[in-house]
Amino acid sequence: MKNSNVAIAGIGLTEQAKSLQENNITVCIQAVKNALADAGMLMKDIDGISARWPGPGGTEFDSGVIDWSGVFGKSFRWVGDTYPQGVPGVLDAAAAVSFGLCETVIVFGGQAGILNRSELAEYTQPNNEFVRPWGLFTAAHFAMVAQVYFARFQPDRLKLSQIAVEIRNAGSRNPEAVMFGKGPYRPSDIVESPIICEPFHLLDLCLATEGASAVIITSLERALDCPHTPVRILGGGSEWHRQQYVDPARYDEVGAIGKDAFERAFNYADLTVDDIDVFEVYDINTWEIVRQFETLGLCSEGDGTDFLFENGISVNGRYPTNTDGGLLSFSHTGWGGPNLKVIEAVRQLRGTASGDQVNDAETALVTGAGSGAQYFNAAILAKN
Amino acid sequence: MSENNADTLTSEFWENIERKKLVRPVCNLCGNNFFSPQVVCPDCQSSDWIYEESNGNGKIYSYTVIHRPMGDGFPNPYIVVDVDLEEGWKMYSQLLNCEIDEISVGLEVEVIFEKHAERTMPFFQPRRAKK
Ligand SMILES: [Zn+2]
Repeated sequence: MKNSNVAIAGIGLTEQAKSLQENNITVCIQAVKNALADAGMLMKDIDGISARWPGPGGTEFDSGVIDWSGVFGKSFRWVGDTYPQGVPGVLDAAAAVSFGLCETVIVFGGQAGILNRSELAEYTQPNNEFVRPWGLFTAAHFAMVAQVYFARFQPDRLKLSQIAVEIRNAGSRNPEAVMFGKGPYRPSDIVESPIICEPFHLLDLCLATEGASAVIITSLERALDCPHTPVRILGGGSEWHRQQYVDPARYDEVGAIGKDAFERAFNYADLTVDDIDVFEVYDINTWEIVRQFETLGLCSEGDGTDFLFENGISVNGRYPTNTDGGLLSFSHTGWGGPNLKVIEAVRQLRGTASGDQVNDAETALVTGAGSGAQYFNAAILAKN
Repeated sequence: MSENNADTLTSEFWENIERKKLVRPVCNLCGNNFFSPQVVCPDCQSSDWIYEESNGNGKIYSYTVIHRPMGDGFPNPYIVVDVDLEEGWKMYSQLLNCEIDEISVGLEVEVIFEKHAERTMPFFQPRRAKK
């Protein structure tokens, strides 16, 4: 654990819900305030910001992009405009802090007041003439990748459903999850839920919800002065294959996306996957979890469903996964959604989970994006 | 490419589709077939490429049956396909004239042209032995 001079000092979460009466700016500001309070900081302590950003120096206002320097009435030493947030935002911030570009970064994102107006999140729908006319949407892009895997390896559908069951039941037990109190689910509930896009049923797929989240990254030295035990950022990696949701995502191109990112992350952290105590992996759908465990090298291609079924992914299993209920059940807030993985990992490492808690968790793997999106990212976090 | 670019890079594609011809970019320098249309060839970065007509025959690389109409006038369910064309390029489309239990990865398909939302679009259907 040699490369760990940067740490997460604060996290902030707003209420997560199917829809909120706020707007994108007010909900993000609430998450920022919560993170500052958690870190024992004030906005004047923040000199780096990572959020969707045209900012000073930029002029293009894509949908969802906001001039955050204007919102906060201050200037910054460093800005990141990663899309989305989560792992890429945290890793860019860690690099900026460790290189001395700034002292303390806030990474945040979220959405509110939009989902009650349109059912599908527009940000995932590039206005593309070779995609949109055919009726593709985010889950369908992932389904197109999964179908080739299903044709080749024919995973056991009920064992696969057990993955959704474990994660959804964790969400059912978590008072902060959007789906708190729903369930409990059995594997048959997953396959009996309406089929949306083959091979995925409704309960295989992530939520589309509202809320915001924020993460504060600073030097380990500075983080040691903060109220909570620092969570160090030990390593990370990203793979950017293509722009998302424009040209076909193919299993033969992106089925193993993440392999290089995992290798680089673990090498940099000087750890192996066997050292990881808790897995907060991007569960845009049930199968994507299988794909990631295969890509981690814990089992061979095609064996992931059996592997996870036999080893278990609940807090009592060998590979505790998506302990908060994940994107399937906790929340998925658009471009800020990937932050939620970081926040749950930090809570697990602090021992302050709102739902299931892994005993004495010291290391966590956090991932973002996936095969159908044609990019992927991973970070390794550890308790100081 | 966004639809805003439709009058530049891809207008020739859609003009051909209107005349019921499926075309794709072919690089004059390296012979690469590619899709979607790009400013330069993704293999050699040459901007010297032209649209050539495809025979419209291919195989399904992947597909999904979608049971959730998006309100775009699609049937329910509808079938999205990722087609490997014989000339070595690929595109998304929809599969028509096909029973759900007839679809599979590798199914041989051929292009057909149908009006959708007031413009001609290239769809695919199973390629059946000609009688
Ligand atoms: Zn070329």
